Amino acid sequence: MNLLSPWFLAGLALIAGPVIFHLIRRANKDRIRFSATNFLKESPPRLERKSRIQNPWLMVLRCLVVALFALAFARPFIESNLPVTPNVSSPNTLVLILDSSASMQREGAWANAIQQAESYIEDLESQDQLSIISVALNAQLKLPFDRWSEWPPNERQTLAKALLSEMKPSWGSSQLDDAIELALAELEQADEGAAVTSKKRIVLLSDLQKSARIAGIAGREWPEECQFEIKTISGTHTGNVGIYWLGWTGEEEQRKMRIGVRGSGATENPELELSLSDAASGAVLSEPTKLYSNSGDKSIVLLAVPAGTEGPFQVTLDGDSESFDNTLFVAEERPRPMALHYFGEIENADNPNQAAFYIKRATSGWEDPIVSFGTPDRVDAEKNRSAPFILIDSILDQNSVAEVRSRISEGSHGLLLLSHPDRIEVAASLLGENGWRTGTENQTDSRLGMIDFQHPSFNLFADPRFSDFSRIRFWHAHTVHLPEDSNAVAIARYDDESPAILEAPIGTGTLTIWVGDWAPKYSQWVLSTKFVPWLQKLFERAAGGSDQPSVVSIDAVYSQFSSPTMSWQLLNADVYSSETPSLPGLYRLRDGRSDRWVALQISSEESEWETHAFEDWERLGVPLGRSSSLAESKIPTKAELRTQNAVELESHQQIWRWVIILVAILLATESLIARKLQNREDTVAL
Amino acid sequence: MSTANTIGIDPTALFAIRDLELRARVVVEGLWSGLHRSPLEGFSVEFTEYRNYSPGDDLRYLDWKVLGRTDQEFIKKFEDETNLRCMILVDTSRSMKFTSGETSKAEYARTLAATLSYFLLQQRDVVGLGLIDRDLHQFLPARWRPGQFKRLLSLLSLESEGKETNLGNGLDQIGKLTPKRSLIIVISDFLSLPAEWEKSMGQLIAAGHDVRAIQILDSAELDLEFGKASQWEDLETGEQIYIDPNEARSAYKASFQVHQLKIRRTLEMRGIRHLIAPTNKPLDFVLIDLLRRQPLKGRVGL
Repeated sequence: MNLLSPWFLAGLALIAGPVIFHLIRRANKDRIRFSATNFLKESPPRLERKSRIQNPWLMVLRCLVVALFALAFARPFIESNLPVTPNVSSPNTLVLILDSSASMQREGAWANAIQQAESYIEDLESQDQLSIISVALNAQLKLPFDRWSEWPPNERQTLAKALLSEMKPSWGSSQLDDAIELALAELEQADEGAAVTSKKRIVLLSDLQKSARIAGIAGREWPEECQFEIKTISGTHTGNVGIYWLGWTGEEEQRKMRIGVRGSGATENPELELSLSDAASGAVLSEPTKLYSNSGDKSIVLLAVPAGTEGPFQVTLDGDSESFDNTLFVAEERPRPMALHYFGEIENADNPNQAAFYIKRATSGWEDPIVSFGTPDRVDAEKNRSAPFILIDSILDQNSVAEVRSRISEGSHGLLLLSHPDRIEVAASLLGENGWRTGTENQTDSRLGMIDFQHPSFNLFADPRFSDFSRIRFWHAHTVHLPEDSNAVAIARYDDESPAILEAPIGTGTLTIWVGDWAPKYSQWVLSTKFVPWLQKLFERAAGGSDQPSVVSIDAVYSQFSSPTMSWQLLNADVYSSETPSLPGLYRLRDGRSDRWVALQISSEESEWETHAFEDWERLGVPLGRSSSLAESKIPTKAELRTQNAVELESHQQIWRWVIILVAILLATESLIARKLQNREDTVAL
Repeated sequence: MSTANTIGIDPTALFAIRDLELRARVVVEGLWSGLHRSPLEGFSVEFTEYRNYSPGDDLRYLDWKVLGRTDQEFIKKFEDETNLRCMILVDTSRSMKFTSGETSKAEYARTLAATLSYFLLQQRDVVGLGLIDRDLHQFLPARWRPGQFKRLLSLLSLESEGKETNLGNGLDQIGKLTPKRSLIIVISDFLSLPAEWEKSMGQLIAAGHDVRAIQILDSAELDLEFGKASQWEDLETGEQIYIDPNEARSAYKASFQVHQLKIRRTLEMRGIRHLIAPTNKPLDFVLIDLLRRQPLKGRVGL
């Protein structure tokens, strides 16, 4: 029999305990207490050889318990002829995840991460596999296993290091869970084609910022024998102060910027200055504001903007040791003016039986777009062309049709109200189609029966809470028949399936045709709660889409500025580019008719240096590995193999369990015997 | 006397009852049911004869049944219209802790004291209590009042501090604290020499008290059928000597008998009744022994 942990046999020394205990007990218990010894005469002591140890069998039992305990802890096992584990190590499959979020821009962090990654690469053997993933806003597979395998084995490390040297940290937030998902998918894929089961390992090299998203891996099933290792990357400096945009405050003439300031980590220099300058010219607009920020402090600084300055602006934080997040760009919110040209009787705008009456009132007071209601200028054709919205509520002559058509084709949005069957020709002429005709007039009660909630005009009603249009009734709807090859598409139909709202592209613009009358005596549409939101959406589309902020996080650029018609021009650059920018800064954004400043910032959370706790990862069920280097999984020596073999044998045999059971039985016996002896002694003693 | 079914409660069964009050009640209630059919006398108030009513007599003692039947007015006359005043003294010294079985002498003694008190209080007699070791360390004056029995029990339930015996001191102190003539029952193992307490006993008798001595002994103290050859430690003094009981038994018995004779003589010389109560003797038998004996002197009928 061999022992896995023989040093526990030192516990055998504790056997002395019961022996001493039995010797001491004898001295105490050998006295009999009596009440009337004054009537007793001392007996001469009897000479008999007697062991000093009381209850020797009980003592032996107790000694045996101690000895067996020590033996159980020593983990005994019986050496068998099982072959020693073959001297072949299974290959390692390693996925390196490099966090390339904006926070890795901090001084020294990226170089540190690359150095760590290189040390992992240097540990790899020829049979090992490597994959590299970088992660910021998206996880990108920089080096798949296939490509690694294709490289000549003796050049793999050099090429992988070269690939690392090309990588740079980005300016977005990190979505670590995406990268881990991608790494797991890569490992699964690598496992499918492999002949030998490899040791899988994912190594995350990250600053582990608390803002980094990891929740996505909750409940993820991890492959067996896959280890996840985290290497926390730190920079040169121990603390950072970040600034972030909170918005405008104050009246037009005394406008102020609300700038958030937050310190994290051990801030090295708490005395800072915040200055405001014109981003385009670089001119300083106000005296630097002194502020004091320590670790964990959050404060708001109000920066007064001189009256008459229009921006764009640049706010700079001086004195902070980390410079990557010390500049904030600010572009002013500019409302979008929109001229609405009304083709119809202008008096109708004050007649409650006419659609213009309701459009005029619905649009007044909007902050974006700001609609000005007017008739087309008969003199200034150029001015007319700037109007993006055209409302047609009359029969147009040929000239007007040509003008309207030309303006829509240049990007304007037209709304034709087909309240009378005789306006069908206007629709046909504007679209340049033949075959448009009206059908029977439907005086009975009708409702909107089909609505395309995917359409931009109606998608805000797509939620079931708002999608009920069945309460809006129409009494004067007439049917319209379209030619088969018409460009117009019905985005809503009445319940008799005749088109209610049609939409057709004309050039770069759009024509919307409403079939029916909006006057309250013919329809409940303009009085319904759906009317104003629908109209707002229609005008927003005409203005170039929803109102977009002018100060945006880099993370939100892709989701908020996704139109393919947009083009970007960095401040002081010469050309516009259709590529969505990924660097923070000031950009000129052009989209259709609009051309404005947009300031892109890094996410404020990237300036915070609090990190995910180890427990956060454990809660997500991540199999965290303890080793920090691949060196540990290298080929073991003979002695190590013997140890491994012994551990395996011991865990297989588990003799210690039987020893513990034996100890339990002995303890029970000991208790019984001790109790009996105790009872006997008690009756004798007192 | 047909008391076989109702008295003679096995001490082992009795001492299995943890509550002292309940123990006392069990003994006394059993004893009462036997007394109804027995010629034993009780304590205190005894009816003796009738006499004719004369104006001014207390109407409470008018026999209304006789008046209803014969139209004659008779007054019931009692031998003694005063209550018995009793003081029970219990020895709580270290030697009383001895037991060779399950019931120690101290446990037996306090149960006996509780039983006696309950018996007397049931008869509306006044009972007091004193606990003695090297002096009188607890004292409850003899009273008849609600809660007296509870107070008495709470005193009896006090753990002994384990001091040595000095019976003489305790008796002297009780003599000073009990000015009225009383029945004084001393419950002790009387293992100390009579010379230590005989003078104090005599003073109590001289003061007019009726003193009774109940000697509680363990069976092992009587015959030394106990223990083994070993170091024996005296409970009172802590002194250790080597004793082989088989060898020491006969000498012990002789020596102990001499001691017992001395006690009996000392007590009888002073007219004090001496009653031996081994701890394996049913308590109600001890009580009956107390009741059966005729008094040597005094008015109380014990």
